[in-house]
Amino acid sequence: MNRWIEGIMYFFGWTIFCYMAIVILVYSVMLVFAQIELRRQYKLDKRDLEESTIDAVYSKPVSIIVPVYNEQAGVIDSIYSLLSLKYPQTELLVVNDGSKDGTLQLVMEHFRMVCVDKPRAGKLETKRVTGVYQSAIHSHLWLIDKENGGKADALNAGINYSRYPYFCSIDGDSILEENSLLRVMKPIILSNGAVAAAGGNVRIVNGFHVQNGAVHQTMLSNSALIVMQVIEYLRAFLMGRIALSRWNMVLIISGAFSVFNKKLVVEVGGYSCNTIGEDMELVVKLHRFIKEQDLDNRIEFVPDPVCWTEAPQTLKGLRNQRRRWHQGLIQSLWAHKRMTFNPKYGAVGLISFPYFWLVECLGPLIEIGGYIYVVAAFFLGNIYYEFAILLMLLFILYGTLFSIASVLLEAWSMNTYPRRREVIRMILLAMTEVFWYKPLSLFWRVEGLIRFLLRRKTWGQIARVGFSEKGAAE
Amino acid sequence: MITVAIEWVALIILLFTLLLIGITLYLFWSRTREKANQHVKKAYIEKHNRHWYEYFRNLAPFSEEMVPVSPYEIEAVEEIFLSYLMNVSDADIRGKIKQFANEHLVGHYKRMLSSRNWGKRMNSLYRIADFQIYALLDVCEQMERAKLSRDEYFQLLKIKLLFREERFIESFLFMPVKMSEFQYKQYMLLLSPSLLEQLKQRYTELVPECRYALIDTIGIRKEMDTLDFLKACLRDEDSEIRIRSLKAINELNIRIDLTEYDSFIASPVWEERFMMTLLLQRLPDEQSLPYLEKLMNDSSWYVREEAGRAISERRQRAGKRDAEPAY
Repeated sequence: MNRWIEGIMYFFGWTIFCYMAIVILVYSVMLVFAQIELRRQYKLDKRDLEESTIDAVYSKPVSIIVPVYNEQAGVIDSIYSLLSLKYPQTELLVVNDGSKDGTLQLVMEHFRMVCVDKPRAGKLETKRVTGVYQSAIHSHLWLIDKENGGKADALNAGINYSRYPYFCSIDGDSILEENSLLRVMKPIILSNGAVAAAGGNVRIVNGFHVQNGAVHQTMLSNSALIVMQVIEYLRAFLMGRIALSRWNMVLIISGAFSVFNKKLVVEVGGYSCNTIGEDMELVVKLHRFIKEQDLDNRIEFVPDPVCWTEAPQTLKGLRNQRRRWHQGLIQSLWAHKRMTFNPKYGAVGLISFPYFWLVECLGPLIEIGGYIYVVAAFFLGNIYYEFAILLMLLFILYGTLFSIASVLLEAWSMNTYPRRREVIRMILLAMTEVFWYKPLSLFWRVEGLIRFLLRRKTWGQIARVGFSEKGAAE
Repeated sequence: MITVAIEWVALIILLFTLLLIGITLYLFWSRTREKANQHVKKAYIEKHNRHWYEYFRNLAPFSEEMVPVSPYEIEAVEEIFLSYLMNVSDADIRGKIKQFANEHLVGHYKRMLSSRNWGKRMNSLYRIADFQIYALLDVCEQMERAKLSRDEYFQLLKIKLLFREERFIESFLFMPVKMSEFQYKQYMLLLSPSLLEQLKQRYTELVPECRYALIDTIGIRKEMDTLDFLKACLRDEDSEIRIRSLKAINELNIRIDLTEYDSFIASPVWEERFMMTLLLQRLPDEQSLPYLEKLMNDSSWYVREEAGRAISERRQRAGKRDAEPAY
């Protein structure tokens, strides 16, 4: 019996050790490349490029699509932030996906929407559109009211009614900085359209002072849960995506803020309505289409255009979000499993897919196994005790130190949180990540994996409180 | 073996932690220094903004006190100059900025040009173009021989176009990097009429993106004497060239001879038919209405919408004319 336990412990111990070693190595490489990329642009004055891009002669017109469902708390602020964007030619399409709260009425009244007869130009299948409205105040603001069909369906409806060759998808609970669209369009404009999609950097707005769609004061939230999410976003966006983008291996650009070539998106059938993670699914479909058609397109992540989004404030909300994200991720990986290790898909098939399978999909399961191993090993004593110490050290290296490195990378390159006290607070909280936040998020992601295996399709909605101090609905 | 591994991992963690502590301390130190430097910059602007205004408006003579001494004071001067350049188009003010930059800022920008940091080199190239620092033109030409990024090469060529126009065309045609259409357009809009003519004559040597930019620019600049050139482009095999040529002809605001264009009304490319709905609107009703009515049933929604809009506008105009009392 003891030999059996010894064998199992030995096997799992080394499996977890090898996994951790690979992950740490990959993260280290990513960190180095992110640092090199950010250092290149350090101190660069971006005014010249932005000033020239802002001229309609040079830029490409963009349709901004905002799907909204029960977003009455933040929708007005979102629309204001989009109306004040510094970009020469845009149209703004707010798609109300059958909201049950006062979202539709609020937008109709606030922007004096008038019913118009605008036929749809696109052919993507969607739920029935019940009305198209144009603002009497801002002629480029449209409201499309439709039956509820989910976010992907609402985005497809927006694509059908959009006019311009590029569209920007933005969540109804997000706000953009005034030059964000200019910056995210830069790789598209500079590449003669070779960049098929570009995603911006998403940050958490909770705790900030927002008025009429603009972030006036950046202040770190008082909630430890929110701050941990801030750190998590920094790590994911700054470390992971910059490096993956460098070799056209990005599989996720956030649905909260990304720009797409409409023609290519329509070619791949638009957003998939039967998957949870419609943003990742679209990116994977685009990669697949580009490779299969032998096109010279790429998908990029751009670190400096910032989109502010509201993060879940409660453990329940966060749990819902994380397990939904993880379920969506696995759905996409599974749907396109043939791309894994397939040289036909280049670096996406040979590196991105295996990385996402191992680190993003199965990672939580292995890491939870690592936590269980550590606890079990302390009880079993002898050699396991030493192994447990080794794994704990690896967890600290992987979980805590990389998070601190991301905080410092952000503080050095972008300086969103200029107060020294806030940086120290983030560093201190990052030190605690391994002990509470990490196990929780791993557990929720494993739940997502189980839900995928059980083919569960229901998920809760995150309660929104709005950006403005008094709430935008007022 | 595990003991050895623990020691190694512990050592890595220790080194990594020390590194992060070092970075944190450096970051805080550099923030404090940056704050002090920003204070210097702000103080310079507060002290000398008025002096610069008076100097630019010929209300006071130039004073040596206005010459910046530290890099942060130079940044303050940049702020002041850029705000004038962006908002004022007075040739006298531009001349004074140019003169000052050539006398006092050459050393600073020369140092930045040789920096290892790409961002600093780019900033220097931007300012050389903004402030017309011709004293650094030779240094810029020497830079062209080195291995450069596309953005650096673009800016260097722009500087050449602004200050050494006669050497531009050859460098432009034989540039070692491929620019984007966006960048080509930026050059095109800065070209003098004689350079534009030279480029038209060497049209076949241009890459497609550059051709697109050239045709668009002709339309934007409303170069009336280029109609024959645009008409020749309509015979191009590349539909993008044909569409842009039609667009440029439309920008020229002229009445077209329909016999030369009627093949585009039945074109398989909807963008060409769309451009024709725009061009038809410049013709009298009796000539254009039969075609517009045909385009009302086009397979493309955009063509149908534009044709419908044009017809309803015409009908409204005709209705107004009928309603006006005849005297």
